[in-house]
Amino acid sequence: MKLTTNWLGEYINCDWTWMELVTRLTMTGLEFEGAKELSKDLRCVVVGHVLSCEKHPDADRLSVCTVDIGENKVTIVCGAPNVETGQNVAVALPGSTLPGNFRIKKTKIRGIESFGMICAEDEIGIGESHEGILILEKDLIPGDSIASALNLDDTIIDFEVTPNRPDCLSVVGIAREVHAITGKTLKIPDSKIEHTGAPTTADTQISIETPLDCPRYTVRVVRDVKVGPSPRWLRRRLHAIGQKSINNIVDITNFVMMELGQPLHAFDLLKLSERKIIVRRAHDGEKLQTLDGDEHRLNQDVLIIADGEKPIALAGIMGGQNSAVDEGTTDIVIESAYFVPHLIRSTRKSLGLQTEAATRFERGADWSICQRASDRAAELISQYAGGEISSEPVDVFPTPIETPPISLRIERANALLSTSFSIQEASKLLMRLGCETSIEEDIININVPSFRPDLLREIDIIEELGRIHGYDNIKGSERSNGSWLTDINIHQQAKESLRRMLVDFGYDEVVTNTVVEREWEEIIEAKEEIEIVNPPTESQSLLRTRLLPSLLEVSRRNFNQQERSLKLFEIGKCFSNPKEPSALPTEDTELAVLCSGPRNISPWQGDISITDFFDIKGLTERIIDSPDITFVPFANKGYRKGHSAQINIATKTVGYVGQVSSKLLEAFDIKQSVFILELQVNAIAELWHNQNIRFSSVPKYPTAERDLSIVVKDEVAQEDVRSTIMKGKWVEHVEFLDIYIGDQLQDGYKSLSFSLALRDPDATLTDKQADSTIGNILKKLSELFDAKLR
Amino acid sequence: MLEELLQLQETAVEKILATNQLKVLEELRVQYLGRKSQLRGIMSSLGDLPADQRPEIGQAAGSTQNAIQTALSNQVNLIREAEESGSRIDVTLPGRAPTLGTRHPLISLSYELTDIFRGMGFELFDGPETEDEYHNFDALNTPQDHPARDLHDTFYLKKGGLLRTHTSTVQIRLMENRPPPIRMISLGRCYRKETVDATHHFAFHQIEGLFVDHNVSFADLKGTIEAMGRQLLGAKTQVRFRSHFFPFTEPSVEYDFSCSICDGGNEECRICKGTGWIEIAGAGMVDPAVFESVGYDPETYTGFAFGMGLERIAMIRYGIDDVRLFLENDLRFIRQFSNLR
Repeated sequence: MKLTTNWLGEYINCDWTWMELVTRLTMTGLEFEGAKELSKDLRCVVVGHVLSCEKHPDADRLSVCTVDIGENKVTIVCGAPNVETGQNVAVALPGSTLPGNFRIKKTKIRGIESFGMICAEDEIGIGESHEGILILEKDLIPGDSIASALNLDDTIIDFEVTPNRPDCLSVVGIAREVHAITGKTLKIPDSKIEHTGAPTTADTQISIETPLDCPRYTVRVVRDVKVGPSPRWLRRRLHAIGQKSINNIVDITNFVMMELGQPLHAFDLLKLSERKIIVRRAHDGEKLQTLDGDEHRLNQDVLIIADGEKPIALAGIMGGQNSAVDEGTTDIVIESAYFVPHLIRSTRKSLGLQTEAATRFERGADWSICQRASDRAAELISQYAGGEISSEPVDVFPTPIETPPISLRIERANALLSTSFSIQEASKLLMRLGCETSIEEDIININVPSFRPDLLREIDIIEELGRIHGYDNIKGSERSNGSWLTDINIHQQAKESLRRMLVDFGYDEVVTNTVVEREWEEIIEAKEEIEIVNPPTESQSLLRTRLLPSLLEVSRRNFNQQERSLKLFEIGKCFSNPKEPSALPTEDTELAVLCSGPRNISPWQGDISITDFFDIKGLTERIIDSPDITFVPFANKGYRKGHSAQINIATKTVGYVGQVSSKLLEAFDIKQSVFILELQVNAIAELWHNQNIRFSSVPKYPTAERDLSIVVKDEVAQEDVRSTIMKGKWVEHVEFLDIYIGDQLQDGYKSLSFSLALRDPDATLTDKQADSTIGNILKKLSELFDAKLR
Repeated sequence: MLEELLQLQETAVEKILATNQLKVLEELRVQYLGRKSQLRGIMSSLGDLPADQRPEIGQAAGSTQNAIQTALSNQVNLIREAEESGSRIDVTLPGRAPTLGTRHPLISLSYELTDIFRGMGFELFDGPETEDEYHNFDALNTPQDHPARDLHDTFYLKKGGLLRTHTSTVQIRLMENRPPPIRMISLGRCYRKETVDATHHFAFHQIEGLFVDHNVSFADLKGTIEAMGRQLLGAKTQVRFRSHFFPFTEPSVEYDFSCSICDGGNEECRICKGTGWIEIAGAGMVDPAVFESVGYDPETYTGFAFGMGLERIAMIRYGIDDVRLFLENDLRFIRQFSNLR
């Protein structure tokens, strides 16, 4: 909502600078968006009197003018066709910077030195016209600053108005706010109009077919108007608040809307078929071209204004081209109505429109001022466009709108706000807000003004008290009574532990979007599809089912930035379709880890060989340090066959680990091998939570150490060999040492080496005992795997 | 005998000084001070001497022993020093630091805020990001066709449901399942259909707080937000509350923190633009209609709620000028926060 300080000053005088004004209003809920001092760019712009004006010797379209600028006379070259001797004009002197950062310098134009510029309206930012220079009133004094000559010591202020406050979408509404804060006298314009014309109903018929949609509809006719440009003050005012000037009639209706908050519409009476105005729902298939040039197909949900045969306006939203006021218009109908808010809102949403009128109606206009706003417009129209105001305006208002009174318990207000209002103080404050109050013991009975549709309940009144009193005047308290145990749940704890662990292991954390490219989900052949109806971009339309594609995208991006070695992880939600069709998607927290490239960047720092499967597997084993973990060969979901595994804890699959398939790498344009771990965070949380850590006494007797190297067929899994060794008598621990495949072995065979620790908890093992254990283990291995000692 | 001792001392010291090998010194120690050494022999035969000679010879033997011992240990030190100064490393070579990863700055901030509120007795709850109309709007006093719905442009899912536009949904889900009193926070992603630019993203993170009990007043809200401000941005932080509108709170406010960058002293401050105040977020007293929708009696209980955008706080704190950086995951961005712990 934009206004200017001078405009506001016409209704209330608050002695504040604009800065104080915006600070005070910001605190009570009108958030300051921006301000512009109109005279700021006009410091070196003065009134000039054109003493002479001759054609430029070397240019047909230019004039050479001698201009009196007070202290002296200067030569200015001017290109405008309308410059003439004897005019008062606006002169931008060299050194000035006009709006839009346009600097004026002394320059030679076609050989003649020009000392500044004679300005058009738009060049000094007070209007839109660029058709020739701005011609000023005769009585101005050359040399005076343009700002004071044109009364431009004014500031445009822009406030953000929250949707609950339609009353603040007008200059008078904001004046009322200032009044509520300060108690200063409010001067609301009063219209004096002469009804000299024939009654409105003489040549106009009005009917409301759907009174529930339109509780009040007023109409007044003004005949014999002269449509033309608006007076300069009006054009300037509308320009200041960003409204286009159309013609005097339309501008006045817009001005009154901005002044009082009541949207008005003017129809050309003679364009109305049968001179009828009907408020009704549209028929399916009816069409209307609105003032913005768009044609709309209407239906029964749309409230329209129609004449005898066709729609002429979208009620409360926008007028139609077919009834618009134009230069040829002589008789006009001013509509000032109150439409039901939700209907206006749903209509404008379904038609994709947003207008100043709709904004006010859908939030709740003031039904009580329909007539007064119409009077005000009629007054201004007769003043600036002539014409005869009809007598007996029509006011269809069959059922008065009742606002039930509200009771405020002063005790309740003080308890909620931590204030100490006396009942009289509170009542006085509410009266300044326009309420009627009566006190009954410790209750205030309140009738709220019709311009405040947001005040319906006691709590709404309490907020008003807090707001006007000022929240800064309430002292903060520290509340610490009672017992407040805060639980930390195992899932939160697991997320935190995983993060700490991975960061300590050197992994960088990323946070990627949950809304992902459709293509990514297709690449990973996702079985689920959770689609957004109105996605942020056409391609970015699915909720992610896995973190993998996002991590690949992050790697691609970072590889392109010359990163060679990546260690990344993300903990985030993934989505899947619910089991029951009507339910919301299922959300699971997942962990994904990615590593790729050399283990270290420089040989000095350590091993620079390339990360392989066993790095990411080792990480997995560190995270899930459980004897129940098993890795089962796996080749699906974008993992490379023969280089990937499914991770099980006991019988439950909790994730996958392995190398990313070349197909996926290609899709993401990644040229080096990438390893991924995906884990369900909740499974980890439960595993960690359920682990049972019990003390067992420290062993008293030493271990016997033995190394064991065997040769087995290639397809024998290390884990099977190791678990067999583990079953041997006295075996406490088995450490895998090495794998060998090569010249010294037959093709298709490999050698596996282990280091064994054997311990008898109750005695020191003898060499003989240890050797016999090893012998038994070997026997078993040869039985099961045809293993031979190497 | 005295002569013999002096001679012994002289030879031993001479030999000790002549060597630069620790191994030789050890041999000399055994030779001159060992159990089978000449000196030990003299010392053990002291008892055979006449009583008047015993003290003199005894003393002389002791001083010989001391002299040899001193010479030995001096020489050992000399040799060690020489050896050590002979080997030198370039201490300016880089160290082999264990690699440490970096937390994402939004996650660090989440934990910091969680800790602050846990310290004030708020419990952390999680809630779904895919929601229904009821929890996202209706239960929060924002019925269909309420103009306040325009504040949040919403993404809808094809098979029904929507992406939550704020974390306030978690308030409803918790209150539906738990009687008062409540002191909770929730933290997570929200979505609004916005055009992505340097200050807007369609996906962002919020932290939400709710406090419901008997006799909770606006002063409690203020006290909580003030305490949070002091812990987050420093003890000097001031808070100001401006009237605002949210459908689910009444009174509703927006709160600003005093600018910790310029203390309001710099008219060109990039953070507060010279106003001295940084707009943080919204809060208010829970609207009675919200209590009614979850079956709490608004006459018995009152409460406050507040919310904040994490990206906004992080941007203010670290001077980040583009919100898109958070989800781009350029490691050159993320690693700038490696010292946040």
